[in-house]
Amino acid sequence: MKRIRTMPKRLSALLAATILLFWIAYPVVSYNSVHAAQLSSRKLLLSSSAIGTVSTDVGGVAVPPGNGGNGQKAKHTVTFTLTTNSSNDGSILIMYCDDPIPQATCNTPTGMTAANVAAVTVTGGLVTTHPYAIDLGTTNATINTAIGTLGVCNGASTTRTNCVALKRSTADTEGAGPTTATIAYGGGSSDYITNPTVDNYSFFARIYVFTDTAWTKANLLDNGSVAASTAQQIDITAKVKEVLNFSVADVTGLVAPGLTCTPLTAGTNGAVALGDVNGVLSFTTAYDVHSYFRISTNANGGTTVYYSGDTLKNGANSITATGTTAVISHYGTKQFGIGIDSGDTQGGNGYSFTDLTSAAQYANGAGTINAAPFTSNTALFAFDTASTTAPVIIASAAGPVTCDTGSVRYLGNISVNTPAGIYTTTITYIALGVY
Amino acid sequence: MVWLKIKRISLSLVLILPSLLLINIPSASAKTTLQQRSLFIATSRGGALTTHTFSFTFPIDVNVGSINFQYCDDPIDVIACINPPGSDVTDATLTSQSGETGFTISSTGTNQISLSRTPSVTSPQVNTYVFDNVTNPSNVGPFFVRISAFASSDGSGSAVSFSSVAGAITIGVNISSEVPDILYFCTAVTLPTTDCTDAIGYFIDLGTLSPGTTRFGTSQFLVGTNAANGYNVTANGPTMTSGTDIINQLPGPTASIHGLPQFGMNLRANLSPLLGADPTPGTGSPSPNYNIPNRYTYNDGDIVASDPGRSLIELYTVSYIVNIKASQPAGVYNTTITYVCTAGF
Repeated sequence: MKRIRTMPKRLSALLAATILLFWIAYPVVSYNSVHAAQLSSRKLLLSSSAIGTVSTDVGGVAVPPGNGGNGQKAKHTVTFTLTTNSSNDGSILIMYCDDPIPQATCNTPTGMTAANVAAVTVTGGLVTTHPYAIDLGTTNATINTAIGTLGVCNGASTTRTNCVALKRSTADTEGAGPTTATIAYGGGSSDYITNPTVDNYSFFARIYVFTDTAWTKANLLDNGSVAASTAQQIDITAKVKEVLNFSVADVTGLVAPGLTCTPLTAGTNGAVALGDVNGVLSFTTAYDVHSYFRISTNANGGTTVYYSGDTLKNGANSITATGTTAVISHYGTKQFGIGIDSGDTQGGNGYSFTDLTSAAQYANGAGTINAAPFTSNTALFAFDTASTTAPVIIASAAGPVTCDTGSVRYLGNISVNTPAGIYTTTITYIALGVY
Repeated sequence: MVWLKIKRISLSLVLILPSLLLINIPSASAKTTLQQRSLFIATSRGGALTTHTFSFTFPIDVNVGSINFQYCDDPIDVIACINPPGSDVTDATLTSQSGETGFTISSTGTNQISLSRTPSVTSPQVNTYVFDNVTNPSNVGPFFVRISAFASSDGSGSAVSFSSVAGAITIGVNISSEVPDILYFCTAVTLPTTDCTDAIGYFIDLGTLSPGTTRFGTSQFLVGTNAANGYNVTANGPTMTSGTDIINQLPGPTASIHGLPQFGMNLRANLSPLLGADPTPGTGSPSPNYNIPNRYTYNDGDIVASDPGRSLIELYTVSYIVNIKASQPAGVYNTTITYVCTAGF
């Protein structure tokens, strides 16, 4: 009795296993029931397994057509080897279906469309006497009549939702073989194929090669199917903090950048004296002094360093700014200007622009300021007092900055009638990173 | 036994396959990342009341009804936001907006500004929002602003876009210079440049005097000052003498006349005799009695040139003439003229 009761259970288990095995093996079974030979070495390479609605990455950034993250504008490449050689071939039909079997109903894979495929690229061993080209003029109705029960090309008129039709102008005879063909299409901004729109979804391409140029079922030479699948994209996110390390100091805060781009230290908290050892200016001698900024940023959209400030002032009296056009030092005349001093390297701790570029009018702060005659001076200085309300660019980079130090040279000249007094100003440096 | 094994295997497959199909691959956040984003601060000084300008683009068109700007010491959204010390946006005002517009400030806090509008779909464009009355963080170093965009107009729900921007507080460079009181003054027979160190000579030899001939000579002085009340230059010294014999000085502007004892000077270009030069252009000028071409005078201690205010360097040329009478006692006549410049600071 026990044996009798167990049998139905065993049979059901065996049946379940058989169904399961069939289900697993089903997509890779190849069918050939129209008395044509089977194409060998078949494969369908997708530029992206993303579904057809995906054209951006997880961050919303557009992925170029034909790239791995763009299923909306994908490229498909079909490769096969003809089994029947030394025979004419004149047309090829690649039909996308939800079933690989030629006799089975062909439903267009969900969401897929080949309507935007505008061209094909055929490479491999097929003779090129009359090369294959995409057919965009034959209606689907005509093709469907020709292929009979091999499937169906969906879409109105010549719009091919699930087919890519190729043909020669005249059928050619291949050599002794084996003849391999590779057919690629899509992957462009306007010439593309759209993947099915369901994640982890298997779909199939039926490949038919005909001896005539009109996809006639009776002239079917070789055929075969290939399977492909969309896949859920794995979105990997890692966060990199925005970095903007920007420091300003006088020479006493000028420390070595080291491997970590050590910020400048406070030094004198930004207090610098422009003049002789006592900070006194003279109309017979030009004086200069330096401050420094150091920047390190991962702003890949660009980096800009601005300055903002007024000229030296003492109440209503001021030392004239050199203006927006760089000029040389002329002692005996009132001048206040700044320039990037590329010669002030301070043993490797000072000027070290690698990524930054000085703005043109501030790029030549290196050189002489007390040559005789003054026209022989070489250093150039500019200063825009409008920077108090509209900061002015002094250096910039098109991308991130690893670790650059800028040496800003300040020029001070007075005339004999410059009113006596203590002249001061505060120059602020501002860093902008575009991330 | 065989049946049981098949059953176990099939059951295992039946149990495993669905579980495989149900594997949940963790999906990253659906938030898009704002692009081309930046923060421009009008001044980088700590604690300054200033303007902050945010710019960014939406990578794809999304429905946006509110945007939050949150000031933190760290840019990462999953890390607790701590307001940078000193930072305060409570009184922030939205002074301008471009790109996606229609926003108003719905609320502010110490470290957060919330903008709101009727939700609408964004366009591919640069969006800029300028906030005034923002107090910078007080500490030198970087700070961050987390920018979140929401579909709702009240910041509820999940953000549709998020990113952070960084700003940096720095010290300002305080430059100070002292301009001293300046009085630049020198004399010489010749001053070829405005540099006193180029001065040449201090002695004028007028040669042998004769009743029928006017003898003459020149000297120069440079003067410049930043004295607010300008300068006076005086000429000091006696007329030309030889022991007790003298050549009379001209007490007032007088033409040069042969045969009369005359000693005088002026600070102009003259034609009779052809002598001297006008001062270089400037704000200073010769005193009236010394400012008449072809007329000469001299009085010990006279102010010969002056400027009522600050003066660039000016060059004056002093022209001297000497005439003698026929009975002028023989001898070597000389004098020393000392010029004194006094500036009024």
